[in-house]
Amino acid sequence: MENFDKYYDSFERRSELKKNSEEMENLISQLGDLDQYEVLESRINESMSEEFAPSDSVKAKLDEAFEQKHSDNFTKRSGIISLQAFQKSSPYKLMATAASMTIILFLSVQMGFNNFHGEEEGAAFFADSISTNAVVDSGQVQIDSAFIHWQ
Amino acid sequence: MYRPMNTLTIMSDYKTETDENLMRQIGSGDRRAFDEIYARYNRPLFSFFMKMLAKDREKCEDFLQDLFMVLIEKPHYFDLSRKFKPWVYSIAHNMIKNEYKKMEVRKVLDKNADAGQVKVNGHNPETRTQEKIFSERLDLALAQLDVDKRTAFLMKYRDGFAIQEIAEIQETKEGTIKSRLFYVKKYLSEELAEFKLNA
Repeated sequence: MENFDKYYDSFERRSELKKNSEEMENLISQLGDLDQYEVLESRINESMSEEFAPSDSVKAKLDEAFEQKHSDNFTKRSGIISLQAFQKSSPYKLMATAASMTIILFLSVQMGFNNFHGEEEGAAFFADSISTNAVVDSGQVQIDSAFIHWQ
Repeated sequence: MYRPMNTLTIMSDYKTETDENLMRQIGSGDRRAFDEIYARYNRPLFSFFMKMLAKDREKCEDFLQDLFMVLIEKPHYFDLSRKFKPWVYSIAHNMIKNEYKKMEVRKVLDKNADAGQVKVNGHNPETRTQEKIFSERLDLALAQLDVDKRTAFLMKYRDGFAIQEIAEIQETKEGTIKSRLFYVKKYLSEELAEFKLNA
């Protein structure tokens, strides 16, 4: 392919070349009659410009993949575990997660109840007489402002 | 203005956005940006594959799908400072090169080729138009070329790439691309000489 890059350049500016110049003679020796070649090239370009379209199923599959990709990204960023992903996890992980949540819930409730030390405060809190003023030792329940004093 | 890929921006008119901005949006999960990129490039890329893979529609659709999956799964592979079109065609080019290495396309074409009597998709040669015959002969002639010459020719004269862009896609010098293109011109001038006489 020696000098073919130079022949390419010559072809691109063939309209500027003189008819009997060495450059023109070289081109003709490579491609034959240039007028005939140009007509051939025109047919080649026309044939190559033929366009094909893929079927709709290609786009449908890509749409599905796109949704899946960005649905996965959203749940990961938000810390949300999708039900499908959760169901796919191993039974041990499932059990460990459930157990952890149970323990946390239990401790939260337990701590909450333990804050009400003394049965009086506890009773006042759970009393049905929330609708009336109740005095428990030094504590007091007030209806209008709905808060509980205790000491 | 530089906008990082993970920033979703609301675009008012996707059709006037550059390919590069659309790719940035795709990385952020903008479905409409992906739809626009697909609308712009599905036919040219599919046609490129059809021309390179003996018009095997099923294979070409697989290739097209695989290519766009790269945009979905790995949008960060695209360097936002580059032009999108040469980049996406470089992916297509590499896919074709890998396929050609398997030599399957050449085997099919060699099996079907018969001097002047090409039967394609079950059509009887006698009923085909001159354009069809020319098109098939052109495809056969191009199929005999190595993948670099063939893709360079298609990218220049079908897809409108500049020499510099083709050199970037094929990772070679501009002089090499020019040599390849002229080689193909000379080769086709000889292979399709009968059509020159009829022109």
